[in-house]
Amino acid sequence: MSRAAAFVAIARRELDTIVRTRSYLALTVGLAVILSGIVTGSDALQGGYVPTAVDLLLPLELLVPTVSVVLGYRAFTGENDDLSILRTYPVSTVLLTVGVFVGRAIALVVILGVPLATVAVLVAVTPGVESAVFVTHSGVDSPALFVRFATLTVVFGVVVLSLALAVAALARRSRTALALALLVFLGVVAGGDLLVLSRLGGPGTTVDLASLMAVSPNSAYRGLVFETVIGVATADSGFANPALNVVGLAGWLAVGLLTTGIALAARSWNPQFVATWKAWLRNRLPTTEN
Amino acid sequence: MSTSHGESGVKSNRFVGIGLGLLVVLAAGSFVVAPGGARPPPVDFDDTVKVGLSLEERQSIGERVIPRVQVSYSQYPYVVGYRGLGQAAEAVDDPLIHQQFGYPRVVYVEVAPADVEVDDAGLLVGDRTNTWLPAEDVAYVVGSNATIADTTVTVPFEREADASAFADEYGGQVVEWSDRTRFEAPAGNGTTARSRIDAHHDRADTTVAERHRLLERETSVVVGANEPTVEAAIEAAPPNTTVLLPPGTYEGPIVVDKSVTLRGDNATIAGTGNGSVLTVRASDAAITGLSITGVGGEQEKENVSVEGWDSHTVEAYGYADSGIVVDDADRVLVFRTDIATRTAGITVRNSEETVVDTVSVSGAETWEDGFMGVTTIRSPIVLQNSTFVDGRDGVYMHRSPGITVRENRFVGGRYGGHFMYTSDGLFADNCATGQQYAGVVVMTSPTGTAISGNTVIESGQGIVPSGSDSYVGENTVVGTRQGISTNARNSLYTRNTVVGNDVGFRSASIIPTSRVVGNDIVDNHRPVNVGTGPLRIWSHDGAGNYWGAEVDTDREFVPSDSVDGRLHRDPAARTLAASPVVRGIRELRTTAPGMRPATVVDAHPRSTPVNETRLERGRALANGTAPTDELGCPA
Repeated sequence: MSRAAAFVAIARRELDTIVRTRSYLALTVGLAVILSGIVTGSDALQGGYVPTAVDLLLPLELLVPTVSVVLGYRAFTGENDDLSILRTYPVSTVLLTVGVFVGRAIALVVILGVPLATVAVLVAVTPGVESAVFVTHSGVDSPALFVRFATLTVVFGVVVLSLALAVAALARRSRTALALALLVFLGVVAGGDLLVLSRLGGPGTTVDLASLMAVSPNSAYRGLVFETVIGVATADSGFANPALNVVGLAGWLAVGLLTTGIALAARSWNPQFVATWKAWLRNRLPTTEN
Repeated sequence: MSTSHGESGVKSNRFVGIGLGLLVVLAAGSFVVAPGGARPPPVDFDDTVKVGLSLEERQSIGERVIPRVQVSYSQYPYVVGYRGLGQAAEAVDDPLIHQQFGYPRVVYVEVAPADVEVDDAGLLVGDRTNTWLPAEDVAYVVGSNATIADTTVTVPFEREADASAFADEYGGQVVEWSDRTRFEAPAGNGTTARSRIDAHHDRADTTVAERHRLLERETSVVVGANEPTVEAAIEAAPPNTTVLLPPGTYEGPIVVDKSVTLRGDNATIAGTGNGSVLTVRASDAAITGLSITGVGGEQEKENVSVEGWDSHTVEAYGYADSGIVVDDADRVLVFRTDIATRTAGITVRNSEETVVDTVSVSGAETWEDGFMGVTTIRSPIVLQNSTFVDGRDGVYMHRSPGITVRENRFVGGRYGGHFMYTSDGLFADNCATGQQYAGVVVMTSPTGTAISGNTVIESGQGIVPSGSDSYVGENTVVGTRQGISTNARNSLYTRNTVVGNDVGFRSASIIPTSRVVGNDIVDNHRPVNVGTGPLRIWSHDGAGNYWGAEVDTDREFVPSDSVDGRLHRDPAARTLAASPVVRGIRELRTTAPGMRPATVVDAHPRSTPVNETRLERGRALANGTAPTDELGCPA
């Protein structure tokens, strides 16, 4: 088995695991129902793609981290001792990490994408504001803006997924994994923003808020939605620093994947790793003999 | 893993890969395309939501040229058509418009014909071009002699040379779209209508005082003593004297064709049941102290023919059998007169400075059978202190600009006041109760109507304005199906007390350019009902309306919202309103209004009523504990 084939096999295994788990199907359907419910409850559907995105932004800020954490936090600690099985593939830790991540990310694309696509279809089939007397136009509203929104949402989800995988790699036991996963969830949903808030200080403090918010994953996501989806329709901008937000999200993705990789490596190589360190230290420690 | 399974596995892997690739391309593509980049083409002006000029003004302009503009806003589903460049220029730079409608994506201006002329009335004469050009490609002449409704208008030209030629001939300067602050100032926003009220009352006071002097004329003839009949008495009386009718019943119909004062002393004039009873054809005539009965039943005459664009209306409404007809006579006074009629009470045609004061008209029991209490045709009269019971409309006003209707009581008809083609009218301090359709209705888009200090109780609707630059203020509306509708554009709705109605306010105007602030809107089943259109913002400069003590004044209030709209009648709504999701979604929505139908936002709800005293009185009226007179109006 080549390295590429092994990588594909790992990703495939992860995807199949999720596809076989019925509860994930229920999760997808449930999400579709929740999202559709939110937008049908308001007048957003009639308003178009942008108002719909506006209505979904806040619920998704909560739902996406939930889904991502659920999807990732037990990737290596399942009842089947997943890590041991995964270790049977002849691949490096790097490929193993990326393979698991890609497999689950594809599942995440489906779990988030199907409900969002459902909503998009609802918008498309809901007649907009119409009048027998006046000519109407759709204003600045476009399915493309909704695709942007969906893309950003999935990207946000993928970033949180990488953090959830790190948790799964760090935790040896399911209970630890659950506690850490909750920590990731709270950190993503509230922690980053609280940090930003605390940095604002008094009215006299000079802070580049737009840049600061790029550090908080959900603020980075929200900023990108405001800047590239909502702002387009209202011709407003300055909600965020898009480039920096992308860097921020990429940074969290890197943190998640690196932590996963290192933790997996540490777990696999543990005895040898520790022995090496001990030897290294012993050699450099000053001798106590005199 | 068998070989075949392996192959299908590879195949399905490939599908997953291809699918993923397509998704990535789609996702990336969405960031590459520029939505809203394309300029929408101009549309037929008739299909736009039109703003500017009353129907009467447009009728008088007829086929002549009106400079027109159409604007597509990014967050407004309709194309907005402006009559007059000044109004359009102001709108595209207005931050409130931007907040509610989005930014203007494209502004098209219909250019005037190159050979356009200005006639003696100052109107632009020529063939409408129906050529719509982007605003920045057009040359504009400001400050020329061209006018519409006595206001200078900016005239747009396709070619600068034509604009210069026009300016040479009719004055003015050629400017560009970027100089649009130099365009004519658009009509007011209701504040002008409000500021005119005091002067309007003063003018009416003067007119009333002058007419009341007709009551001081010396008695020259007494019917029965000096002359046998009323007609003979009028014939015999010298002008500017009084004809006295002692107690008794006199036969109608009677024509007053001399400027005398007809004074009854407990006297009744009884018609034959055919036609009108008393007809005044002389200026400076006066009628006082009479009771009139025996009015005919015909609502529309067949042998009447009137000239002009409004001939149909005048024929249909201006010639009904009436208790009193004032026809082509100025400065007439009708005072302390009671009319029992199954048709019209008083019809005033083509009359200036006439006063109808302290009369009482009792009409047909069901409005469908009856007709108007007072009808004014091209007669800006003063109508005051009068009572109208039953019949169709209390007062029906046709082309009577500057009319004054004040301190009357309208009970149990269709509409209390009914404005048609009447601008700058004042409807003040009246009481309307039990009106089938509405306390007061304004039709045909006039300008400058002031509806102030009225009380409407137990009626279909309270106040239904239309047109623009109107003022609806200080009114009390209680127990109607729908309190006040905000149909009038560029108008001001303030200091009204709206209590205990099925629906408090109705936001019906498809183009919300009015200010609705400083009202007390309390205890209505639904505070606000909203029609199609963009977001309405009912607060201004940090001041909003009072919606009741239940409303949290720390956050914006959305009276049209399903949660906020029931705060006052369901305490559980407060719990739901505090949900992070409900709060968050609401917060987000106002950052990007979008083309949302059915939303009114008050960004600064008040913590205290605007007018505590009137609110208490309104509440008392709503629950039946307020002192009222015999007709149900506040005592």
